[in-house]
Amino acid sequence: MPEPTDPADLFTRFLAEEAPVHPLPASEVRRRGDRLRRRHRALTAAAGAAAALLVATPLALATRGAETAGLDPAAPSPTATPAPGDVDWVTGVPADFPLGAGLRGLSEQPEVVPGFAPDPPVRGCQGGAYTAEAPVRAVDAVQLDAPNAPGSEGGVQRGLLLYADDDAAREVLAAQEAALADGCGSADPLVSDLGEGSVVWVQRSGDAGEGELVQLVTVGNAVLATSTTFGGAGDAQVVEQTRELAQSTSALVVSSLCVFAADPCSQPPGATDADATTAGDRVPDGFPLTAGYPDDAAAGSGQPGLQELSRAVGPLTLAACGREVALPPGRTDLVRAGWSDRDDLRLRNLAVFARAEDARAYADDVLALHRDCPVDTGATGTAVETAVVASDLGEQAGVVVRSTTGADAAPPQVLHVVRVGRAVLVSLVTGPSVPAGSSPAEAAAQSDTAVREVAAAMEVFAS
Amino acid sequence: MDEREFDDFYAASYARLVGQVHAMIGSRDEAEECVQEAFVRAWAHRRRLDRADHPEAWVRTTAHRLAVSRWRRTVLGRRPADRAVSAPVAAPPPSEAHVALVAALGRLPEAQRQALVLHHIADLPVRAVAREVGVPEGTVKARLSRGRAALAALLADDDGLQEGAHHA
Repeated sequence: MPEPTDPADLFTRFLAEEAPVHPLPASEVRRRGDRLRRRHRALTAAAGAAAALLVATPLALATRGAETAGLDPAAPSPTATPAPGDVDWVTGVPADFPLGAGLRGLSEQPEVVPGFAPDPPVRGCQGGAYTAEAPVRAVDAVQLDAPNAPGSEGGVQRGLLLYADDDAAREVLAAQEAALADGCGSADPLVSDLGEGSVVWVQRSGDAGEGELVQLVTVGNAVLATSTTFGGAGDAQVVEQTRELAQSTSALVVSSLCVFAADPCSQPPGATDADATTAGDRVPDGFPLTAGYPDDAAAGSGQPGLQELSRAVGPLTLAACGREVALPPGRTDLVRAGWSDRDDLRLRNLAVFARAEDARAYADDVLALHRDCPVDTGATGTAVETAVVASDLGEQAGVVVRSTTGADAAPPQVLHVVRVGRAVLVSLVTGPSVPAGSSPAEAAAQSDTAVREVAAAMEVFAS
Repeated sequence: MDEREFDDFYAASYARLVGQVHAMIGSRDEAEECVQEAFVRAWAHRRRLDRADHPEAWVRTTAHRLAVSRWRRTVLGRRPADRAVSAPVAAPPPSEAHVALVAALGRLPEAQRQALVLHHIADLPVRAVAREVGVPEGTVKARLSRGRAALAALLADDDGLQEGAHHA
């Protein structure tokens, strides 16, 4: 019989008994932080540039409410944050605030209606508690509903709420974070780093894999709530892709929230990044990263479908046998495109590096990761056999095919890794387009034609 | 927060935060990675950090959220090449009691575990714990009470832990 252990005693000794830490040098942490900050600026700039194409009329931010301070069409204001008492918070949503921007495939722009209740876009945990009255009373609110099809329950809903000040807006997020920490039904929080603060979670319902991804973003005294219903919510990759899709389609709206900041902008940022790179460092406009993908319309209702080339995404991290290969630093550009349906996921990441040797090292790492892992049981406990097939694409390439065996074997995953000069393409296909039971060579060949077209276009990065 | 202030803050609080997040999530390697990433974000958003009353709490909350999200992503991942946690980093083996405490904490409900760690390991008063997790003080007290009782039972139970909880 063991002797009872006093938790208080263990707590007291806990930190002293912790193993030594191995922190990065502070200068490296700051360098990475600066890089992250630059990337966010670049994403915001990209969203602004996209706005020029998406919005037919210039954003002349008139106001519906009484307070219009800071909305004149001038350059963004200085970055110094005014003292809290000096801020004239905007108390009315501007009449042409682009709440519906980025919603694709709609025959007409959804109507923005005032108010948030009685059918709020965000239902909080287990329904109902999140309105213009709770957890904090809003001073103004608008919302829109963009169903996938007339009468459909699926689609995107957005709500924009303004509060008395930024403390009140932050309280809304804090309340949701606390609810998530307490379990929040079947909700799962996801990582998010949007605006001045954000919370993103997925709420699953039933056994049919239906899910609702909710994104709350605050800037100044505003909270933008976006709800996206989707299928395949039990699949982590579908969830992640839906999160990225929601983030990219709402990028302009999020960037436009700057008009509600304590130090407001006058218009969504559309200028190029201050760290703009030279031609050849960036993936050119019109690059055919979606070559060979099905049309958007081929995706089922409520499914993400085609995702055009975008910079509003994070890097694709690959893992096998407990080891992970992330994109290394030294990149000058990173873009992604994809196509997905309920059971079909296709993603392409194209990274451009400052130096060809960095690109070569990354491609080597990705291929070595899989060569060194012929059988991976991973977190699922299912044995996955991995083969790396030679490829003649680009200057350096390989095709990773990961398959399971048995009666219930899933279709193989096919990962093309292609380097041309300073650019590396990682193209992932998984789903019924590659039949289960295909040999590695057959699986590699299935998606080779489409990747070949992308590889040819990568000649612009040739050494 | 300028560079020197940040560097001092980082040096003073990094190890402490890794220990606290370790106790919250049960994985030492994950804790160190998430705290590291949280400090990167802290520097990237230092204006926000300047406005925070408690910068260390900001970093701890960010690291915890990162860890929870990574864990869920890993557990829910059905496809083998899904994003995953990074490779473990070699570290000296901890004592049996240390392992036992982490294992016992891992069997508690998340809210109780968080309250215990913030109060007993981060040494925060109940009021500060309530502020950090966004619940009333009474709720924190209840979680602490239930958590301590459950923890004592787990640590005393020979079969209660799957690893390392043997104190002859």
